[in-house]
Amino acid sequence: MKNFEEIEKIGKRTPYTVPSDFYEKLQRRILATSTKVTPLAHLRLRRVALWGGGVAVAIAVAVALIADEPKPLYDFEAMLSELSDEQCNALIESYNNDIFLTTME
Amino acid sequence: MTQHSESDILTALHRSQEEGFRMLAEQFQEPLYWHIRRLVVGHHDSEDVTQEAFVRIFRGLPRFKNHSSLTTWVYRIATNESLRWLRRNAGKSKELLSGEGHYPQEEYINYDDLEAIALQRAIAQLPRKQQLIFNLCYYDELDYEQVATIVGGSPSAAKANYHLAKKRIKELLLAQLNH
Repeated sequence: MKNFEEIEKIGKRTPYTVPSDFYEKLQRRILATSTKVTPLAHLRLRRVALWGGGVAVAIAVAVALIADEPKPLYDFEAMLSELSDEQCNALIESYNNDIFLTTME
Repeated sequence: MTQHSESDILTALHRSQEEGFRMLAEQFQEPLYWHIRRLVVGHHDSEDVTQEAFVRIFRGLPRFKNHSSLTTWVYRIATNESLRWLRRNAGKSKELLSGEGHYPQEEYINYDDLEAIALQRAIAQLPRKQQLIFNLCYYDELDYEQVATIVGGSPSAAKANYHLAKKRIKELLLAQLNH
């Protein structure tokens, strides 16, 4: 490097080189990769499908859990409605006489 | 090098993905490789980054809208890919350029071309954005509007940065001369 003017004469020359037939090889490499590329739109669709599937599975599990929830042994209201007046009075009487039930209140 | 217009490439992409990809690679692989090479420095690294950039370009094509030109869009992807590589490999490009340090001398850098090495070292010392703007204006001959689209900011800021970069490069080269 002798002087500054010499530097300015460099122009667009760079010290970088490439192997011979590099561009042909690069193109082959790029295009080989492109065959494996899934366009973004397809990826998005796949993602939406996965999310949708996940949500559907979650809903199905939730429904199954609710459906399988154990019912109470006695549906109290239904049982009462099936009782006759006599049976009802007897039940109230036994309830009032039950020391454990009344002291628990 | 085969020349394809942007509209030809986009039309081809609609017709056949394979043909569109081929035209895209023919049109942009060389300028993008050199854009990446001037930032990354090493040949093999630049080749890898170029390939990764094209993968992102191919994947992103359905997202590409004609708000910007295809040229600025592919340059932006290549720039981002280069910056990602530079973050992961801090200092490697400067060491390769100096031919000293941790990395062995690169086969595809002519270390005997002292002037060209000096210029690249000066460019490498610029702040990253100025370096990008200088390269895109000077080597790739893109206009300020295109450069602004690629690196962000306004065309007038790109113009100002380009002139600042040129001034700074001259100062750095003079400093190297006097060293």
